[in-house]
Amino acid sequence: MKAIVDVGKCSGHARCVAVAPHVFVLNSDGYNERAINPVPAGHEVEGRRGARACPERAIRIVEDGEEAEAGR
Amino acid sequence: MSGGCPSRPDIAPDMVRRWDLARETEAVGCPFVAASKLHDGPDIFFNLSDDLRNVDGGSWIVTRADLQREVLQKSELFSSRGISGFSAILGESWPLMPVELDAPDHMRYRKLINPLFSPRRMDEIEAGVRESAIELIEAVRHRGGCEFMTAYARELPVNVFLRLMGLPLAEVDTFRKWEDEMMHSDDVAVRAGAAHALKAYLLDIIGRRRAEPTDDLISHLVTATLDDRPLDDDAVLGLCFFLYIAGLDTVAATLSFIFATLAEQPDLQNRLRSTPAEIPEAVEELIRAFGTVVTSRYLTEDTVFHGVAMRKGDRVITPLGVASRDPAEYEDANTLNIDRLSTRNISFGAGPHRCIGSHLARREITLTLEEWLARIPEFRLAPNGKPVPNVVTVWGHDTLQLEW
Repeated sequence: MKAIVDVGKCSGHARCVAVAPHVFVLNSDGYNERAINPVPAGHEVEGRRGARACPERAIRIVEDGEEAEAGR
Repeated sequence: MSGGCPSRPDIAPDMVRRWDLARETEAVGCPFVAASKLHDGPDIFFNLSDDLRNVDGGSWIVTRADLQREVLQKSELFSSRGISGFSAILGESWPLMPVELDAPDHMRYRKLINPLFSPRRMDEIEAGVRESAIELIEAVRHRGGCEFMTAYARELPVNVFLRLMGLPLAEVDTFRKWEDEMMHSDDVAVRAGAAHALKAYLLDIIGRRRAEPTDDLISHLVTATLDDRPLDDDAVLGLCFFLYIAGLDTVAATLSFIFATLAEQPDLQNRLRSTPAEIPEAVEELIRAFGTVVTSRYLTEDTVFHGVAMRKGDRVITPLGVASRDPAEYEDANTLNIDRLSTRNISFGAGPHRCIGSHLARREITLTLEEWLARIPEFRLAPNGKPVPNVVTVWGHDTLQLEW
């Protein structure tokens, strides 16, 4: 499973890291720098919750077998 | 309803309303319940009422959470220039920084102060904030009750501002007085007088920190550089003024709804008192339910936004408390439910201007609940203790009489 972060859309709510500290990483400004991909085994539920927590809707989850169309 | 807007014949009459939030709030006792009724109507309408600082004969009001998010994210179309009108109080015209700046200047200044408000930085200052909170709570603990807004909700944020700025805590009464006069006085001369006094005070400190920097926020600003040049006094002043104004009423207002709710819901209050580990998640639902800020933008060009033709210069208001109660976003939106699966919200705004103090506000609210519930027994509203909230600017209770 992958978490695709649109870092251009991130505005630093930092809810992703509050909910999913094993999946997302903040930079020194407190904005999402990247997701740890693939999402570490055992943290898939956490990753989905972290993505859902984003007020900007800047995070997309790509399940195994799905194609990542864009982003990184 | 009305027969349209005479000055704007381009707007279809069924898009024009006269939504008077103060009157609606008076009728139902709660601005959020009043606001939620907007979701029975159009997603966007043109409002003719005088409230919501609606001065130019009408403004667009965007009701739906997803549309508000889009307005706030599309900052090139929806400009922040002049949204606060604050410096006009002083008869001046500098922007509050960075809240009234647009791209690209906005992000340049924002990046200067982002690290000072990051979650990591908040970890470092939390102990000091908690100390202020405990001191205020201990002062009322054995009194059997208090007027919560004066004793705590307005006091804590001023303490926090002084700590952030590196100003002496002994100045708290002076800064509270200035805040009260600037933000709440009906008298223009009183507002301007307080703003000038604060400006003079800050300019003096800015000068002293330039001469002898310490590790506080003002020192950080006076030693920072933008394009290899130090910030001038106007820029530092604009940033300091904004941080002062932005963090006081908003936190106090949010706490006023939270404490009124806890006073009225002893089961919730006692659940959080007995399981404090649930407080941080509960705070997210409380913030979801109580978006107290009404912000706005100005159109930079003629546009059609979700089928609505808007003109360059039109004001677009996004009352975040209306998004708080959007049934398309939240099941049973008017019910507070700390077990809600998703509390994702835009109570701190969205897009590039997302409230820079959001992480600080969360800490203030969370540690307030932790320390208050650990020290004060079950509390309730005093008889007639909860007046109808004030919705002139930030939505909140002016007073809240609690007893225990």
